[in-house]
Amino acid sequence: MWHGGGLTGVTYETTPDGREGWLNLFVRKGWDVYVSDAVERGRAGFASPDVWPSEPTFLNYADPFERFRIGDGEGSWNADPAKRRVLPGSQFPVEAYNNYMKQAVPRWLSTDKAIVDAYVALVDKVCPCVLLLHSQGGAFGFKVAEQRPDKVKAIVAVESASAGDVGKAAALKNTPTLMLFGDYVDQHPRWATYKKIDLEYAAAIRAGGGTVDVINLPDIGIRGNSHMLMQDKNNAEIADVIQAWMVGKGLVE
Amino acid sequence: MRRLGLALLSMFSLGLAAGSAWAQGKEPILLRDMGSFHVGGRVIEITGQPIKEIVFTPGGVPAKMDPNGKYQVEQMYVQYFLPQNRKGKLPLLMWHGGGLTGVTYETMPDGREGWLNYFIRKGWDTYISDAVERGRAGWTDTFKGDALSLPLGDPWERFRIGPPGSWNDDKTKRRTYAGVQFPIEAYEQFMKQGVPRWLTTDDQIVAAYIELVDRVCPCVVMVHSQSGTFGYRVLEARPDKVKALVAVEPTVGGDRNKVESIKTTPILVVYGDNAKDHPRWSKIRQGGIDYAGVLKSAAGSIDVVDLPDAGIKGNSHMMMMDKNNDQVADLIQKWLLDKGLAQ
Repeated sequence: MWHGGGLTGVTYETTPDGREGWLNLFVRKGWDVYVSDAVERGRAGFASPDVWPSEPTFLNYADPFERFRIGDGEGSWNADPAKRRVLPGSQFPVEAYNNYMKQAVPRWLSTDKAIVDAYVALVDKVCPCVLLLHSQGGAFGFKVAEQRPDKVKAIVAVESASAGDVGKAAALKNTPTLMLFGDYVDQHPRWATYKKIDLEYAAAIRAGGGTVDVINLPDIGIRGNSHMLMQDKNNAEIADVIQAWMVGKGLVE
Repeated sequence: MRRLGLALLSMFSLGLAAGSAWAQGKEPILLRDMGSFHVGGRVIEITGQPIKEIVFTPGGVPAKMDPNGKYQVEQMYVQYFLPQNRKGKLPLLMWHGGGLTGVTYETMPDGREGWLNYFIRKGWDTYISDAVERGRAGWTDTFKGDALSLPLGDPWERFRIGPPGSWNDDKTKRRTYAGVQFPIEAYEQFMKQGVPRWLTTDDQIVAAYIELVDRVCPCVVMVHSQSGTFGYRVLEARPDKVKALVAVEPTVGGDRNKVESIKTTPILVVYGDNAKDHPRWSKIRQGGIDYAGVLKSAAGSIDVVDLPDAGIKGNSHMMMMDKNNDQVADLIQKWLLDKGLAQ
């Protein structure tokens, strides 16, 4: 389970409001689960300032609230919880938003190669395996799968924020892939663009002979999901959707 | 709580690694629950900074980044494992030393089980944490001064794997103390556990630990190295909640003016081998011995164990990772049993 940008493996642990996260839920389903902190995030540690050619970036309280489709776009966050404009029917546990912000860590914008190299080393150590990717981790996962298509046996990409190299997508012809999107994606200019990039990559995988299933959660009646859908109040329901897909692919006994 | 039965080895140690608990034929660990949380910290506000546009991922969609606004700072991370068959009467909190994280107590650099697994197996509800600005606690650029990173050779000599002057970039030319128990073949793996540290954050770290203690204690607190001072300061702030303190090579003792307030909490202090002779550790140890004397004269309860005097030889500063880490843990577990803290 690979986390997204500005976050760590904590993404998949206990939710900000204290419910079980996908780590526990997939352990309960019988998976050997490996949760990681990418290079320069969390327990991975980070290098002294002279090693990487850029500054770390930090997220303020408003940024994920507006960018991760918890609130209704720009200006929806307010220091006063009563004045925050939450998207209608949002499944994110907004009462625990402050706890969510405690999970954030700085990120660099110049470390993608180091991150991908370490993920390749991880795959070489523990795979064949299934990758469950979120957000920035999606781009890493697809790039790693392009390098190790024999070892990555399936990919679950949860709102992948950009994808792999379209020119190399054919490498995934034997790696069944699920792309999952939450609610309000098409109305949000930024996420609509990411989704377009993902679907172009999906088309390239299919053109190379591979299979990609795309699930827009609202299309199957699951509404209100933010970008952090593994922490949303219906996270167990979404885990079941993913599990059913993996069962369908013969990855579960 | 629902029963959460699982073999922890599949999460902590790589199941296929030669040194894993599974490969060693140990019993699976059964848990009734596991989880994590962040605790402590505060919200600050930054103003007057220019707005930036950022491309987070090459080829990605630019995002407006307004660096002004409210920020979360100074929180800490805690992960807990609650065994099915609980025998510890109180939770056991394990606090790491400087430049490290809770990983200190997890799988060893050479793949053996660490003290986290050991104490879960003994039936303790175990809480492993990353202190403020370390690991999964996250950090901000609001701290004073720069973060300090350790050169590859620094802990080799400072943590008493080898004596002063014994480090060499060439593995074959490194010297160790005679009979050292540290798994030196995995030293580079140990250095992957290192994280930067600030030298100006003690008050923030202690504040978050106090919030942790207020949330999950009464408890037993185990500290190592830098967290020795945090353990004593938190004990002095919450003597009613810290029911025992196990201090593994603490770098500093407690406040001599506050011994009266902590005398009902039993304390165990453990030093490894070569501490009496190492130029830096001899001073650190003497400071700890002197503090113990002050505490005892105030009718406090403190036991100081030099492992070589107990027949346990070769231990480095990272004794929870040493090859005889079970032997050292047994000594601590026996002390906890003697104090009536476990069944």
